[in-house]
Amino acid sequence: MNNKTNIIVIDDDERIENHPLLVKLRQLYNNVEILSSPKEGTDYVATHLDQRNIIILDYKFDADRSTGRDVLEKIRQISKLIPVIIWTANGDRLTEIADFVNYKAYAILNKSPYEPVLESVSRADKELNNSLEGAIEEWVLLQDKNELDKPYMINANGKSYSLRDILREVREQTPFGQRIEKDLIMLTIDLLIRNKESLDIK
Amino acid sequence: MKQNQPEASALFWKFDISTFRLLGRELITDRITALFELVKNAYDANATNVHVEFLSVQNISSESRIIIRDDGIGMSFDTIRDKWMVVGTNSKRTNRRSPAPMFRKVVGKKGVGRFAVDKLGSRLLLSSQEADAELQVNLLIDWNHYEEQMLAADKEAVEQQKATEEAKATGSSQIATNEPKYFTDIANKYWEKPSQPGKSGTQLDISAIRDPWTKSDIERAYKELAKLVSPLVRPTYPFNIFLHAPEYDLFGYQPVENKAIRHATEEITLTHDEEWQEKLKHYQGRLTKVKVPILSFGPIDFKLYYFDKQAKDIFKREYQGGSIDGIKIYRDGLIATPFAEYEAQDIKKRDILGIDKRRYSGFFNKVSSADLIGILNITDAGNPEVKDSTNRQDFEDNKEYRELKGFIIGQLEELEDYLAFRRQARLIDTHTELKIANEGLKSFGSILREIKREAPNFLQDRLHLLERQSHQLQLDVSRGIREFQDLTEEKVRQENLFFSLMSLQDYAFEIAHVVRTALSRIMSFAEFFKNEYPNPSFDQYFLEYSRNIYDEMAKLDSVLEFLLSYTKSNVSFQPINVKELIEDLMLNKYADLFSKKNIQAYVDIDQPLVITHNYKFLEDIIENLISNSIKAVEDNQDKKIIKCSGFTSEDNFTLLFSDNGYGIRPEDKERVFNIYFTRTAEKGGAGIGLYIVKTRIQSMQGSVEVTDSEFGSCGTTIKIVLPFAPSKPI
Repeated sequence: MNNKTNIIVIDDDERIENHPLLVKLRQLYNNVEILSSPKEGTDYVATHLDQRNIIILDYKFDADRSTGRDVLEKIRQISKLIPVIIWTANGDRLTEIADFVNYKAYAILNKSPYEPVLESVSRADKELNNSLEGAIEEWVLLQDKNELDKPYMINANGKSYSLRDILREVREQTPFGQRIEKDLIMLTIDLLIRNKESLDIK
Repeated sequence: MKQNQPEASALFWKFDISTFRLLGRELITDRITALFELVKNAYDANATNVHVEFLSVQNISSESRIIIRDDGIGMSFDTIRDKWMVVGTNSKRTNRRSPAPMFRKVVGKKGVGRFAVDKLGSRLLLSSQEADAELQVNLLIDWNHYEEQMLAADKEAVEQQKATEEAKATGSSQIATNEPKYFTDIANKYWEKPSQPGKSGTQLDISAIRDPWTKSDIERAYKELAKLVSPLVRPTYPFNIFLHAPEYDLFGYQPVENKAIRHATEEITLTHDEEWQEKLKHYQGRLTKVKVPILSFGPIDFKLYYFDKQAKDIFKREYQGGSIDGIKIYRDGLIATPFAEYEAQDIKKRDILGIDKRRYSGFFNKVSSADLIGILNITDAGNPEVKDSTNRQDFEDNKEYRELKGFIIGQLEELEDYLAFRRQARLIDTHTELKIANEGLKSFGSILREIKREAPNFLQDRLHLLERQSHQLQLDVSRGIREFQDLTEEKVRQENLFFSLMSLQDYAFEIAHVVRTALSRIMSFAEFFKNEYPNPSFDQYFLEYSRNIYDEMAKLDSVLEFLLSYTKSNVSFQPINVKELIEDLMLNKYADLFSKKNIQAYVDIDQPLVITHNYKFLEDIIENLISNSIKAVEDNQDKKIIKCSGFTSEDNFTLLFSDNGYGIRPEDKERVFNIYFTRTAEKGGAGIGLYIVKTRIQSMQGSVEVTDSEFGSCGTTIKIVLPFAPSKPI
C-alpha cells in the first residue's frame, strides 16, 4: 500500500465509517478522508488542489437538502479534472443524469455491490497516473522541494508561476493551465515525430 | 503581421445600423409594453395628462397613426440633442426624481424606452416645447430609412468581399474599400417653428404603423394602461391617461381608469397609522381588522378584492378582455411589480408573491390569483427596505420583503378561513331551511286534510288533487334533505380520501426507499464476507457486519409487519371517537406491557371528539408515539410516565403526547420526523415511526412538532394540532 492518491468520501451517513467499501479503500490507499457535509467536502477540495484526489460522492444529503448534483457543480467550479464517482442508494431515481454528464461525473454507481466502486476508483487512479496532469505532477514532485514554490515561469503579462502554481492551474483548467497543457502536448508530439528523446537546449 | 497593426493604442465601439432594431423591436417584447414605456416617459416628464390616440388603425394605410401627447415639461433643442438622442442616457439614473414641483420618482431608467416607438410604427415625428419657449422643436426619425441604409450596407459588404476575392485572384493590389455607415452616421431631420403660447409638452406622432389594432387590442391596451397608476392613491399632481380611438365606439374619448374592482364580492381595506398596521382576523364568520405595531417592512395600505364565481361571471361579461390577475404592488402610486407584465395566458404569469404555489398543498379552500385583485401601496419613504430588483420584475430578496410576502399570504389565509366558514354556514343554513320547508309542508298537509273534511262535495276532487300534490312534494323534499346530507358526507369523504391518497403515494415511495437502503447495506456486508472470508485481520469486521445484517433484517421485518397491518385493516372511513380510541390503546391494549415495564400511563382528554377517518390510520399514529415513549422511558431509574392529554378549542383539537424519558436533543427537533432518522437503532428503532406520524397528521391537514417537555428538564412532548375545517360534516 503505497498509493499517494487521496480518496475523499463525501457522505452524511454516520454509519459510513465502517462500511465495507471504506474498510477496503483504507486497505488500498494511504489517505481516505470522510467528510460528512457538502460544505466540508467542497472546502476540503478547494484547499487540497495540490494533491491528487478522487472523490466518492453520496447523492442524498438530508441536512441541507442539497443533492450530489449540487455538490458536483460546486466541485467543478473548483476543479474540472478531479474524478468524481457518484455513489447512490437510489440509482433509478436520479433525475439529473444529464447534469451529471455535463459536469463530467466519472461514474454513477449503486451503493451495493461495492466491488464496482473499488474498480472505478482504481481505474480513475490509473487514468490520473497516465494523464498529462499526472505526468506534470510526477515531474514537479521530482524537483527539489525547496524549488516548488519559487517563481518558475513568467507569462506575457508579467505574472510569475511556481511549479506548484502551474500544477494547480492545470487542475483548475484556467486559460493559462489549458495553454500550458496544449503547449506540452504539442511539444511531446513534435519530439515524438522527430524521434527526439531529449530537448535541444543550447 | 506586425506591419498591418494600427499605430493607435485605443479602440472604440461603433454601432451597426441594425442597433435600432435591437433596442426597439427586439428588446421590447410586445406592443402593449411599448405603449406602456412611452406613456411612462410622460409621467417622468411631469405630465398631468397624456392622450393616446389611435387613428385609422383598424386597416393599415398611410393614414394610420398613433399619437401620444402629454402636457409635461417638454424638451428644448439641447435636451433633445444631449439627452433624448443619447442612447442609454443616464439623466434619469442620476436624477431619481422628476423636476420640481412634482418630484415624482422616475420610472424609466435605462434610457432606451424611446426606441419602443419602432415596435409601433417606423416613422416618428416628435414635437416638443418647453413652457415659455419661443420655438417648438421638431424631429423626424424614419426607421425605414435606417432599414434601407442597413440593407444597402449589407449589399455593399457582399460586393466588397466579392471585389476583394477577385482582386486576390487577379493579383491586383487595388482593393476599393468603402467606409461602412454606422447607426450614429444616419442623419435625422430637425427643424424649429414658432411655439404655441402658454403650452408645454411633447407629442409623439407615430406613422407607418406596423400592425393593425383591433378593438380587443385597444381594450387590452386600455386595461394595461389602467394598471400603471394605483386607483387608490390620489396624488397631489394627478396623472391622467386618456384613450381616443374614434373607429371603435367604446373609445370615443375615454379617460383610462381602473374599473376592474367594481364587481368584487368582498372588498377589504387595510390601512395604517404612524404606530400601527391593520391586519385581518377571522373569527366565527366575521372578518375583522386588528391593529398590530408597524412590521419590519414598514407601513402599508392594502386593498383586496375577492371575486366569487358569480362576481367573476359579471366581471367577464362587463369587462371583456380584462382579467382578475392577483395582487400588484405600487410604490408612491405607480406600479412597481409586476412591472408592465403583459401575458395573455394566465398560466404563464409569474407568481411573484407565491399565492398560487400554495394550491399544491391543498386546494379545497385556497384562493388563487384568478380570484383576487389586490393593490398594495408602499412608499419610498415608509418602506425603504423593500427595494426594486434591478430587472424591475420583483423586489430584492431580503428579510423585509420576505416578511411582506408572508404578511400578504397571512391576509389571504384569514380570508380563506372566513370564506370556508361562510361556505360551511351556508350549507348548514340550506340544510336548516330544507328542514323548515319540510315541516311547513307537513303542517300544510294537515291543514289541507282538515279543510277537506269540512269542505263541500264539489271541492273534494280538487282538494284531493292538492293533497296528493302536497304529499308528493313532502316526499321530494325529504328525499332532497337525505341526498343533501349524503352528498355533504360524500364530499367530506372524498376530501379525506384525496389527502390520504396523496400521502399513501408518498408513503409507498418512502417505504420502498427504506427497504432498498436496508437491502443495499445487507448486500454490501454479505459481499464483504464473500470476498474476504476467511481473513483473520478482518475478524472484527466479520463480527460487526454479521450484527449489522441482523439489525437490518429486523428493520425490514418491522417495515413488512407494518405493511401487513394495512392489509388486515379496513380501509374505509368511519366516524371515530378520538378519546375512546386513545383510552382503548393506552388503558387497555397496552396495559399489560406498561405494567410489565413498570410504566404509568395517563389519558386526559377533555371531551369526546368524533372525526371521520380510517381507524387504522389514526391507531398507527398513537401506537407509534406509544412505542417511541416506551423506548425513551425504559432506562429511567425513577418513575416511568407516558401521558396523553387533549383539548378542543374553537377551531382545532390539540393533542399533547408526553413522556419523562431521555428526551430529544435540540438539534434533532426537526430531524426526528425525517424518514429513518433514529437515535435508538440499538433498540430496534427503524426511524419510520415519527415519519408515519408526520405524514399522516399532515394528510389530515394538521401539524406536528416537538414542543417543550411537559416534564420540564427531562422527557419529550409531541404536540399535534388537528384543525376542524374543512372536514367537519354537518
